[in-house]
Amino acid sequence: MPNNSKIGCLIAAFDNENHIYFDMAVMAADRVAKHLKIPVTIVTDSVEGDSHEHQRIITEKPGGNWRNDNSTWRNLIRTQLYDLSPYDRTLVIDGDYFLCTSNLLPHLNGSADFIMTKEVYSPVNRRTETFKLGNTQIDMYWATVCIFSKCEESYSIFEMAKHVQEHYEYYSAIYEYRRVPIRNDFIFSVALHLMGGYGMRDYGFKSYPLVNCDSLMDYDKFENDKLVYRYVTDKIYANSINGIDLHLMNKDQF
Amino acid sequence: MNTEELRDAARVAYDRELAKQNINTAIESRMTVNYGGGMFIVTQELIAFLHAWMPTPNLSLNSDGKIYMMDAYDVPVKVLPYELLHICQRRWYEVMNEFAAEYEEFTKIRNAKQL
Repeated sequence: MPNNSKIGCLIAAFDNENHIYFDMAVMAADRVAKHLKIPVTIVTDSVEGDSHEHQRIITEKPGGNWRNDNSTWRNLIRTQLYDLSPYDRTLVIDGDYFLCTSNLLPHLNGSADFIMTKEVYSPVNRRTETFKLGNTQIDMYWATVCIFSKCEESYSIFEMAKHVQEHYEYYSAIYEYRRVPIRNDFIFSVALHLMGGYGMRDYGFKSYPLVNCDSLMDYDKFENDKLVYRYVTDKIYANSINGIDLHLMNKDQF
Repeated sequence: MNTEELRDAARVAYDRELAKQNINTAIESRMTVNYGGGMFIVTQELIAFLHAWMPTPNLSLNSDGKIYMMDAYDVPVKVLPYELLHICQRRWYEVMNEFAAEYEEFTKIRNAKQL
């Protein structure tokens, strides 16, 4: 990667009935600017909210995608981010991905043209594992964090992802996973499986697991990049995690 | 705290092994360095290899003494072994010192109320 190439971060945010994703994206963007010191652009349809110092790309709200909590999930723009990105090398994160470290920098300054989170660490069962998708059991990638360079390989992956998104029902039947809601994780898992020689190539981050703070956890507090949380297994437990980037999936607990 | 809150706090357990694994996972993801456009994961094996690299007299080398090594993403990167060794040692030192400090804090926590 040339030294003068433009590195930046993209976060997509489209509000729905239940959540103001734009505000969440601004919080996540502030953390990217603080820890990685790179510019951030928020892809949104919101022209009004305060984006702090971050740039924004105004685009149309993507089509609705029904979730089981009866809200409309406006997540289907991820496959267009290659075309929308103003950067030579782009970090893409979800609006609920909160950076607490600069651990992504070596990956951003590294050699991989396209990488996406694959390994998942659970702060409840203390396992790091790769999930499998559907009955075909291909490796599941998480579109939560992705780094790509503007190059032929990344372009092909995004084009394939657009194709999978367009024919989602067909691919859900082939790979035997649930059709609704449409998930970017599944779209990219299939696209990477196809583009990587049917699973021969590993596009996962190395030494950077995705820390999923999911519905098994109740957040007690999140201060100074440290999350204190509770969970229930055989009894009620509390614990804390810090010094690592966190995927705070329980939006209602912010 | 009222009685209800006290009872709630007393009921909450603390899993030390999980806390330790949380620290370990955080530490491992910090053990990376950039060099020559690539990314390397700092391990004891990498440090030992770089430290042990000593070209034999009959080995024809480039005059700059550089060798190719695969980085974490399987991209060959031209490396000056002692230079990368220095960077890895520095990273190891920083991260393990942080780990030692965090571990000391961790040993002081005996229950969930101290979190």
